[in-house]
Amino acid sequence: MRGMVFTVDLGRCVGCHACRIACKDRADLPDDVDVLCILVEEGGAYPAPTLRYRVSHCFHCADAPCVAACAEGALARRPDALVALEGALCTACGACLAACPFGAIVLTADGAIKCDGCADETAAGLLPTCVRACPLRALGFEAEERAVPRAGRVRDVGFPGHEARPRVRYWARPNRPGSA
Amino acid sequence: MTNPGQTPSPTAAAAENPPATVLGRKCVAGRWFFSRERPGRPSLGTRWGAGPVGTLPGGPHAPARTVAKWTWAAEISAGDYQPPIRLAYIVGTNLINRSPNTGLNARVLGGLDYVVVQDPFLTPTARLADVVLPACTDLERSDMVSAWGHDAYLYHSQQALEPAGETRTDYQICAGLAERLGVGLDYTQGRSEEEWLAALLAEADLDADRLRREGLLRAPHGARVALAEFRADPDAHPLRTRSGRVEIHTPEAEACGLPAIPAYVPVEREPREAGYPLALITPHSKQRSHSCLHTNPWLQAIEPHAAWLHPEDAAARGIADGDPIEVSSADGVVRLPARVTQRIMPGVVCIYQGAWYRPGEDGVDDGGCANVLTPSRQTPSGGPSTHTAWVEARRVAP
Repeated sequence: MRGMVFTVDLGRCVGCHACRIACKDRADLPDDVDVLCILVEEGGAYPAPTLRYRVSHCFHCADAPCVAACAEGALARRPDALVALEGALCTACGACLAACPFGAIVLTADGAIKCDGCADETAAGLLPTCVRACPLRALGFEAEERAVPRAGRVRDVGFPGHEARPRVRYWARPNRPGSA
Repeated sequence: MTNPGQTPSPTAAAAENPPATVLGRKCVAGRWFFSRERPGRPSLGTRWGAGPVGTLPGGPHAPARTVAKWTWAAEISAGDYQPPIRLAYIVGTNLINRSPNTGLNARVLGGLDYVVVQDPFLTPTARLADVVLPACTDLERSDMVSAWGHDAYLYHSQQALEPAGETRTDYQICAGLAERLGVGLDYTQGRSEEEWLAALLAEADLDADRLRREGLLRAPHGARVALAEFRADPDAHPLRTRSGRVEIHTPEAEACGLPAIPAYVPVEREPREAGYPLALITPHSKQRSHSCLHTNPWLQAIEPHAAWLHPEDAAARGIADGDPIEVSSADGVVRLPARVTQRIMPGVVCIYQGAWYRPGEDGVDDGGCANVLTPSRQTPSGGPSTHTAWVEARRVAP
């Protein structure tokens, strides 16, 4: 994870949820629990409405508010820069949920859970499960210095949580609201 | 009655969005009991780019009569079929859900003397059955499939699991019934499912081993090109028109009450539809394929089922986003949440088709099945009138 960022092309995502289903399947999550969600952003007015889907999960922020909020030390930054959750230390107090600007942590009967960055897969040289599942190739996982918007896209920072320096780059069409 | 899709389907599970198969629904008699463009036409088998692959042979008796594909319930209730239809054997289709006017469909089907449904799932149609014969899914048996008859590929549908519980393949169910009726050997000809597949592939001179090994066969000449023979030699291969050519001005259309030169013809509102000012559209969703997969919670979470309304229409009715509402037409009423959005045109309501019919005690459908609202009305070309329905919406108590 060190030096890596997730990339999400907002102009490509059609909200098919293949990433969510693949993530859920990998982690064997209960029906009503997801650690990856797809936000729906509607704008404009008929006859020119706009629609955009924003894939959101734990982006292992450089200034992770959840790590600071966890009094039990269950959330910690690993040497490879992943924000890891040690389930055995979690008391399910919910402090991290309140701190996370992305709503990326979910409280279950067994404690908090969140995206583990597909640490096993990436260590084995694979892309994260959500990225591999994307049929539109809207999702990516790449070196931070190489993560630049392609032609026709600009970096979008119009989302809450940007100030925590999440390891995500949203690429937007320049004429859409929220792009910068 | 079998599913009236354009081509046969692999299983009941996927029957409403059917790629063509050989053993799937065709196991019943190798024939459609619904009228298609020519009533009683025998099935064509699985067509694909390379030409037809055979299917199970039909029985010795052609269907004595057929029923209308979309308006069967209206015609049965009007007494159009004499002697009356008293028994229905339904294989692999959520019949009441997928035909317009679901409330009438349920009343008519429920009013028959005896209903058998063969399906992997307890669909709204299966709930009306006297007997449900549990079929396995297409993951639990082998078959070959092609998409809609014009695809360049024939696919191997490989069995991944053993049939669950007491379910059996459609073929096994039909073979068992044939045996009890004393025609078991006539039906199976002593062949197992796998042996039928091998024999049909051999008859069509196709490489069964390669299909099994590689999962698909590509037609040597690619996808079938429509009217290719006509294009090559129009005199030797005339079209089924009076002139044998493509006709822009068609006297036959006038005979059907249509303009001789194609033009948009607005549907006339029936007097009983007068009190319903909003137009209803019922498009496909990404949560399901028609009514298949409706009960999968992972897919349902993609977007909660709701009726879309433009903010202007919602405001005029005191409806806010998320409010419970009733949408009614001259044919029925559904109860579901409102979704107020700029993504729908003013004056139009959108309800994704395919949600399962679930009538409450008051007869109102709590499942939000769009076809509860659509009329038993056929388009001049024989299609269902699922995008021409008039509705009204009102807020109800939670």
